[in-house]
Amino acid sequence: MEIALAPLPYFWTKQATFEFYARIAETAVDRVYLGEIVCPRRQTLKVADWLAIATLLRDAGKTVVLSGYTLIESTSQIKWLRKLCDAGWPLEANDLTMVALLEAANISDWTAGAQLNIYHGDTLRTFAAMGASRWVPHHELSREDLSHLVPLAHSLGMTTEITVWGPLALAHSSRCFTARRYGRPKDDCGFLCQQWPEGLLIETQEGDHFLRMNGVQTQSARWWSLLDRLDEVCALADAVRIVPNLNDTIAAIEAVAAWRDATPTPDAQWIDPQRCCNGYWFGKAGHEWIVDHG
Amino acid sequence: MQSGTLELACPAGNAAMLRAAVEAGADAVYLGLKNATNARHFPGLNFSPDELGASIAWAQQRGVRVFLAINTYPKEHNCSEWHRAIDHAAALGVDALILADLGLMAYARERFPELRLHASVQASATSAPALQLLARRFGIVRAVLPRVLSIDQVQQVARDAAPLEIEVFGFGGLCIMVEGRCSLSSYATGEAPNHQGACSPARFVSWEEKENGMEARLNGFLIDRYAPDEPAGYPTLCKGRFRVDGEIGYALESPTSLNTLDLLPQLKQCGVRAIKIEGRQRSVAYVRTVTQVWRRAIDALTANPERYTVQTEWQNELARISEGNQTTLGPYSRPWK
Repeated sequence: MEIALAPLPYFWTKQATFEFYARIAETAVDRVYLGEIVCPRRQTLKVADWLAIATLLRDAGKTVVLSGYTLIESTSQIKWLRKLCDAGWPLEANDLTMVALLEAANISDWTAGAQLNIYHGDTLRTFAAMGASRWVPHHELSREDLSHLVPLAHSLGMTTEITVWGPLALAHSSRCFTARRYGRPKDDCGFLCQQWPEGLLIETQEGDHFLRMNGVQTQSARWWSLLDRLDEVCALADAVRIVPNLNDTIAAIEAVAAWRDATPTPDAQWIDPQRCCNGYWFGKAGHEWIVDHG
Repeated sequence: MQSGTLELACPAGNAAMLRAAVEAGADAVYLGLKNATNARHFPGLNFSPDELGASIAWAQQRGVRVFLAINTYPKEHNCSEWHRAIDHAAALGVDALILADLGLMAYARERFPELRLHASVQASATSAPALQLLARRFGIVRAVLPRVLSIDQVQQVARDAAPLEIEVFGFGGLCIMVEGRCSLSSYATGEAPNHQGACSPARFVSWEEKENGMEARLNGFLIDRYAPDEPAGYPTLCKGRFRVDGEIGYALESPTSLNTLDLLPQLKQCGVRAIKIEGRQRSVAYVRTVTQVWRRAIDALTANPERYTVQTEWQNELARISEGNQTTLGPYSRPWK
């Protein structure tokens, strides 16, 4: 059971980002996805900086994958993707644009990210035919849905990587909600989103923690958690994925590593119904926390 | 249709809307079946298989093309319903299928190689390389662009993706999120635009009159609270008022709608092939009015591109049937840039 770390969805300072990955290098994580996937204005780290982090992680024995943007709007973003494709590292596509570039460059063995809308077998086959050798199922796929798809993935030679912790990326827009909240135009945003290392909470008027504003991305306020269900996840998955947040990432990696070493340490923070959700896993509303013993 | 002219593609939520659109001058109508295979799966809307056949024949006899939207994403257990929809549409002779799912594109291409395929806005293809991939792999000949691109970006995509045809939204409700990539509704309710074909479905909506005004909820989440003198709207999740950093406001999107009559010459100049009117869930009167106004605008532009000006009466007629309080140029003009 491989432990994978998704790309950092938030905009942290260059120093905080380097420090974070230096700590990640010390963990039991096997595979690390790197790169800015949310907003093209977040360029504190250039491609060369990401490659420096990639080298650091590779030297620590990790497999490193470079991830592409989720929403492509401009030719400068396409150029960025081309640079990633030319860098010679394993790659993850999160948009059809990157898939097209991979196909044009005759690159195979890439990872199909969760935002590519692979929901049924024919689509999975299509992505396999285009060169994907691994896929991250969309959060809207339930345990039941995956039970149909994972055997097919295996027959296609594809690895399945299921997300077990972190914020859910619920929506993407060309509009920056964080900039809008503070009355700033997107092109002169002042990089406000850097002030909220886990995004900015969107509460209902009666105080329900509902969503999280992360620039052009809207996330769940609750953290997705299958960390109490690793047995059933791993009956399906070949790898588990952790999406970074500010304070839980390393502990989440350690929780999976402990489970893998058959010394599970059940911890209340992974099953707190006030801050976690798992509804999609049961085919229910995503925000729900379902307690199911079946 | 002459080449080089803009095609006007209008919504038909039922047979009456289809007649209204055809009579008011639509070049094409788009519609869906009465099930989750399309992104406007609302109670009382859309066409049964029998109605579909009759409506296609009726419209085609009048020289109007019919596009069937099969633009949601099936899962493995219900995929056959989407396949049946494609088979049925092909047998009835629709002029094009509007698809979002790559697996369905592959299915349609293989079974019906002669059938025209359009990429739905729900396919989330926003760049020329992405569209060319769809053209190369699945024979997609037209793509509806997500409502997130500016006019400059539309131009770039249209130029780089040619000869693939580009269709853009001209008028109607405005989705602020990239279509096909939004799971806000499924997060709150369990029902997704991508799978059940509805956002913020009516069966999860409740209104309650309270001391401090009307509360509108979606599956229990308070989406908005309206003052006693304020008109209460439908609690579409992204158009609600929420608290962010201590302040209550439209955190994501204000309830506005899109109107690009002003941009029509530029859209044509960009190489855009068709203008799409949103609103299969609206009324017959809406479809008739919007189609009439846009017909006049496109005809005026075609007759004399240099002298094209937006007539006040067009805007007045559209304002009467607009959702929300104001219309905007939406992402095309990028007011937030």
